[in-house]
Amino acid sequence: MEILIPHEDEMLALGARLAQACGHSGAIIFLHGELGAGKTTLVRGFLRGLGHAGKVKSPTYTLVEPYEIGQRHIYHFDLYRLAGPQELEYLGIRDFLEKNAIFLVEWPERGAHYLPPPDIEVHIDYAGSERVVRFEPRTVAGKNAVLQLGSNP
Amino acid sequence: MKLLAIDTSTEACSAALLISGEVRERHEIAPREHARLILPMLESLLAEAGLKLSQLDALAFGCGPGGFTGVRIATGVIQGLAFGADLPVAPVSSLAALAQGTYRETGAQQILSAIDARISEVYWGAYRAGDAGHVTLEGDETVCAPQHVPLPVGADWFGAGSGWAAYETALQTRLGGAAYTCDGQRYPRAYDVALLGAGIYQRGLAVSAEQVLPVYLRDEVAWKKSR
Amino acid sequence: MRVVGIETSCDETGVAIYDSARGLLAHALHSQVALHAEYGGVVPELASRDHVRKVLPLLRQVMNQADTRPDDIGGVAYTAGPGLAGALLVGAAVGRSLAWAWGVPAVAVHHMEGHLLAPMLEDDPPAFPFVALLVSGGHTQLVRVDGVGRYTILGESLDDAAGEAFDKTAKLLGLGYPGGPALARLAQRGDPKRFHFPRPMTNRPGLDFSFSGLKTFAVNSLQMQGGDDQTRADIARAFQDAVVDTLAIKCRRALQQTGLERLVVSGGVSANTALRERLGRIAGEEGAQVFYPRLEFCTDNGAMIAYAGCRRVQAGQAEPLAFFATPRWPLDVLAPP
Repeated sequence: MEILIPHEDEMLALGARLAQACGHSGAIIFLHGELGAGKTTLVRGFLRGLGHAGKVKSPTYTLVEPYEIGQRHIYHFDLYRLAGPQELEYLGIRDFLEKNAIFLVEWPERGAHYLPPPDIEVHIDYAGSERVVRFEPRTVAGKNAVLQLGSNP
Repeated sequence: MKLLAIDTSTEACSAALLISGEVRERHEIAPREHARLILPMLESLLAEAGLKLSQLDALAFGCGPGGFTGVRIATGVIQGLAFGADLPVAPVSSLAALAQGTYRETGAQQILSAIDARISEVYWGAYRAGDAGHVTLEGDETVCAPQHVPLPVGADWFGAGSGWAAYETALQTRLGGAAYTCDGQRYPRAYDVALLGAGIYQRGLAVSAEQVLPVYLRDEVAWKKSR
Repeated sequence: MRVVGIETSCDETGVAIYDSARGLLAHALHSQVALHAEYGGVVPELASRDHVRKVLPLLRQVMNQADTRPDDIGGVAYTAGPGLAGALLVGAAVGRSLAWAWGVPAVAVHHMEGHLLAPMLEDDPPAFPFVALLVSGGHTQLVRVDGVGRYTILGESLDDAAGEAFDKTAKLLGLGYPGGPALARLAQRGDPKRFHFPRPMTNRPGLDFSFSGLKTFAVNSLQMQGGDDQTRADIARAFQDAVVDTLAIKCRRALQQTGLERLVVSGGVSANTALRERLGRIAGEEGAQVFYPRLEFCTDNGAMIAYAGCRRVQAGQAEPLAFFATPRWPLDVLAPP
């Protein structure tokens, strides 16, 4: 499924809708896109959609930013600095892998095979000043979420 | 002897007080709640026995392997208590505590301890019941994929721990029938950390506060070589 | 009253003892910077592992230096947030259980409160109220400080912190990590006229910052002009001028807006010479006085936590036995002790 996003505001709204579509189960979402494409903006919308009121910082500096919203645990990763998947150890990733946690992963290819397989892969591409966001479900849960996202514009 | 023990290396959180061979325990399955629970558990155990920290002979803790954060919470707490109350510390393997509890409750003589290490791996150790009713390690503890665990000698092993819940099929395939049964719902408990810790203390192997450190089995020294 | 302070929120382990009557008695710091350098930034699990090795040796050291016995201690303070969750938990676990073992109160200190109060460790501390600029790798904030626990955030960075922008731009210029100080040195021989970077968010009212766009300018300038030594120095200069100018404009605005006459500047970036010169000039023009903690207390340290903790323990504050780490902890929810 593809969605055209003209402005940052729509990207935030899309993130919030994605959060709704994921429901109450855990989810692993890979985010692909060039620097400045809007990956962190989508995540910001996602977190706000779940009710997070504070700032959302890019995790470039810390590799992972954990959020606790109600009973839910959301981890926003930026794996750009990793030299290889085995370096996921350095984030203490074993401690994060729990049922019902949500993983939002930028530069997931740096953690290939060490990370659990994604439910959804999101590709954000430049289209002039606009963005094209493509959702590719990879699991049954992912497919359901994307279907719900599509039916609820 | 009087000894206070804790274990926060897995989803379980527990504390125990051993007084002359008798053990009292607090135990909860409470993922991510260790920091909130552990000191109040210790306080209630001491209050119940009418003891102060300074009246103890030693402390013991599950030093890992297990969740990095949980193991560090236990380490930090024991560092603070040992430094503050000037007490010696017996570090106890979480895998050994898991095996000891299995032996204590089921009578199984040979135990294969496996704690889910995530990322398709287990923390692994083979234990046998030995003298003085304490389990002892056969070979080495390790972290590896379930299909690569070291094969134990002989048959009639009892599988225990969350590693069995997560990877029973892979482990049974690897072991080819060496484990006759398993229980994936077992966790390391402070009760058994106390029992094994008392043995370590009595053998003169307790350490000082500054020497209290976690055992990760996943060492950063090895990670760095990969870069 | 003597209070132990423990700081483990990021990549420095700091322990100190503060005495309410005699001031700071001892402090010790272990920096992990070298540990993280090869990864181009802080690595959370490595940081936690190092803290758990270092807290007690540093504690032993400061107890000896301060000739302090456990009976002399009236409280234990530790940083409970904001910062890296795993790293914070180490200090909280040790600090909380140590206080219990000693039978004294424990206080969970807000890391930024530590920074705000750090100038109080000096011989000529500023009087309340004052404006504080906290500028480091993790934070860029302007805060009105009316007293201990009485903080109003006037403005803050909406994206990268200033120090983070320094480090990221330094990396683009091939200066390694953490590259902020190296970038400042390179900027010294840069031509201030060659490039001009924008001063983000200065042309509209308000005291918020945004520094993430500056590195895009650095990338573009590098791509268009090539990466020879002089160009890199010129880019470093243009970048530093833009950051310093932006911070200075907002500080001036904060002083004017609040009508206050004291400016406290703290955080790792406050060591930057160009920033200090610039802020000195501005303060002069505004009739204000600038206060800096000594350099070693501009960056993370245990002394500021011991001080903040001491003020709160003295006021009767005490944590329950359940301890916690708060990776995200807004400053303005704090209350006076």
